[in-house]
Amino acid sequence: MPDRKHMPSLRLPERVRAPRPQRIILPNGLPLYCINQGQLEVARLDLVFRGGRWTEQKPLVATGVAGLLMEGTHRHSAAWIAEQTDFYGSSLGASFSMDSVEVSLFGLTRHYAHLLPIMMEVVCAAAFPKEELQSFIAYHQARLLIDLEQIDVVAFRVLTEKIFGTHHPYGYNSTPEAYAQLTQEDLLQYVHHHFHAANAYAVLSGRFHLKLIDHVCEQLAQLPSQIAQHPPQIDPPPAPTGVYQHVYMPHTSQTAIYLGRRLWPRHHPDFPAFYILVTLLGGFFGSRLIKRIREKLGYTYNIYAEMETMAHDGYLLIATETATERAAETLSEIFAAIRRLQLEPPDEEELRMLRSYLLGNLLAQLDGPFNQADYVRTHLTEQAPLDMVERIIHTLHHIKPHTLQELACKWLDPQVLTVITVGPKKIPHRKKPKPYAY
Amino acid sequence: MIPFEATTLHNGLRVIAHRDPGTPLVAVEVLYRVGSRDDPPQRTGLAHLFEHLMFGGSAHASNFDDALQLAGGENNAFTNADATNYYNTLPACNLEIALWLESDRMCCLKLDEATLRIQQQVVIEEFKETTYGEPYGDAWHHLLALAWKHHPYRWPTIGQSPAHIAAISLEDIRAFYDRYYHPANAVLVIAGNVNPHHALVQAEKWFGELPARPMPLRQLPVENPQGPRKAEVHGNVKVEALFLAWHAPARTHPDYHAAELISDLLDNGPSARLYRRLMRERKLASHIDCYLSSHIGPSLFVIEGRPAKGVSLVQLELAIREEIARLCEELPSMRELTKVQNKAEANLLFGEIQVLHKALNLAFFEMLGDAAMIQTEHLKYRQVQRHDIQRVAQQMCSPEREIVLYYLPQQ
Repeated sequence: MPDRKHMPSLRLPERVRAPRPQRIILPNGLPLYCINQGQLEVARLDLVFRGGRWTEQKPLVATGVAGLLMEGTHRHSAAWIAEQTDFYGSSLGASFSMDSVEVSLFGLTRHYAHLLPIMMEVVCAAAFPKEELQSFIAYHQARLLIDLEQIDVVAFRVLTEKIFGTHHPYGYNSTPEAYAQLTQEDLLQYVHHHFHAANAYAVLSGRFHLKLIDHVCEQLAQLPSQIAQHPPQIDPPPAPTGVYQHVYMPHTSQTAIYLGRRLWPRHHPDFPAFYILVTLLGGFFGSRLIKRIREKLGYTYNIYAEMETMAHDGYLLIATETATERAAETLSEIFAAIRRLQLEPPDEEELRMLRSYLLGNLLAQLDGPFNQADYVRTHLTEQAPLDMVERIIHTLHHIKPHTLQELACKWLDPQVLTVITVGPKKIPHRKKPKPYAY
Repeated sequence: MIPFEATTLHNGLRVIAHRDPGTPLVAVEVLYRVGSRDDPPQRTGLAHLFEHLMFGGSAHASNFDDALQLAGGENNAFTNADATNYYNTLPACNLEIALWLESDRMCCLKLDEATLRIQQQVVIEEFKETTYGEPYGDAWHHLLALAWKHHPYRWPTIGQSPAHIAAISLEDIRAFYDRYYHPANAVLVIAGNVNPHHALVQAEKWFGELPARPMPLRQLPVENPQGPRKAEVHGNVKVEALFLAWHAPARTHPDYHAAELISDLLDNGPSARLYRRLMRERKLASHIDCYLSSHIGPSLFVIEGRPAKGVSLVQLELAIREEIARLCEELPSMRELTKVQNKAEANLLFGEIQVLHKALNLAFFEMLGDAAMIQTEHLKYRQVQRHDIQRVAQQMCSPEREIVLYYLPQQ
């Protein structure tokens, strides 16, 4: 008969090690990071070009480059590229982030010999046909029309615009007009300035023979080695000041509540401890916001707090969609949760659960070669140290409850939180809570 | 290959254990053979609401999530028409904690009025978020109601309406728990860095003493689709959309894999027919999607499309019908068939990367009849011949049995 009354004894992972990829510098200067793990003969190659929105000459160019990279080269049509990659059961695609444009190949290692040359052709000789650009623009204009009917999309757009500014690379929003202004020349220029070895790195992950590394190196060596360009001068975002704004959308069944403020990049000294604090506030199912606003009050299906970081900046986001008739109470509850963090340190029992959860969660985040590759890319692109996870764990083991309280006072001042609500009814205007004196 | 050991406990619980030495984690999945097809017709959404109540604590573990998080674990659950899945991942050394929690809520779940009321509110907000808050979010409500007149697949898992969810009583909940939540109606999968033999012993320790209860009898109406069905609905959207559907073979039917390859030929990857021709070449669509619904039997074969600017819904519908006609009239080339077979095989392999996916897949195939089916799944795609594609397309996509939904902006 098992003893059901007591939880079986538990152990926590003693060590979570940051990935330590093997680094190879190619003759053209390109660093290649290799993570050779796993049991299946499957591999992913990510080629990351730094820049993204940060170095665009005009809005949406990085989006356009990623969106149209697979639409044909000077030698082959989009249909040919698509058929070849599909035939081998693989995927080849491009994506963009605030700080990069990335080209990724994912497939069985035994097909890499066929696929690598296609990937390199796309990178080195993308044509961006005018006709494809026109359909890209039409598609995204239509898509935008649909997306803007969603309260969460609208709230997110207004919030990030308020935090970083309408013209800031991290703050601007896509518009039908901005899409219409994209030209083939813009995309070719962007590639010319960004797609070279001095501005890139590659990550090969999965299970592969050493011969594959040679083959990958050989192909990546084709990338021109130009000197990296000077980054542009970007005006800093406005100083954080709390703004309340309601966006009226008459026909929605819920109200979106989005709060945020500007923070800093991942390499900021407060990052590890604040990561822990934000997790406590709204980063998991045992968090304060979930336990109270969902599980105690039933006001929402989901509510979360998270920290978003980029290479040059970062922000805090607290978000939920809630019953409109409960929106005012939900907002008060969010402020109350923040205030509680500022007024009293978390107790040991809560910290114990947070510690265990985060240890397991970080272990899972690094499980397997592809998760490790994601971690490595995030940290390389954001120019954060690769051992960050070990720093978080060190902080997790040693942090004092009052340190979390101090951090809450330092970075969660209600006076500088921007609050955006979107829905059919304005939330009754209320005075902001007084800042906590410290 | 996903090697595993399996056993059936004396109370009827099926247990499957798979070792993956490459991960520090273990995934523990419990599948209950109950889904929204078991909802009472006036209380749709019950199976899904019940899933939420499974986190309300049990006799010996007052809070499921707190205990699992203390063990460094994460968990979640999902319900569909046929099954409800509860899954946990945690450091492998803490396997027993997940087994303690899962066995305790299988036998001794706490059910009270207060938790029910709160979760009804949460689920109604979920309903609003996913059904009204997403463009075309209620299209499935309309499509399923067109496709089935008697079968309980006619409502979606979230439920027919918030009113149905609000009407569910604690008595409904208790009866549902007694009927469906017990060992013989469940599959337990343990996959991860554990010795499979040890895992089976642990499963016996925690689940073996639970009392056996009879398997629920389920009498689902057999509904032979008849006559084309068509409806026009209006919603809060800016762009009109088309949903074209046919009844498709059940998951265990010999033609199922051919049907899936047909949906891949039409819309899996950037070289697929509908995407390439209708979106890229003829520029008739701004969105196109084709898939088999997740119902295990019978499922729905669905094509969704939104016309490009300046194109009418009728023009897009005609173009989609031309592609369907081509499938029925011309054999696909050997190269195209091989392409979708290669993709299906690669996707099966990619599903073996994460230990949690392996656990979910093993449970799914066990629910279908035998977890070992997972080992031969790739062969079933390989065995499909060019003429099977044509034959199944002809049988499935018959004009007499088509279901057409026009989703239009409000006037």
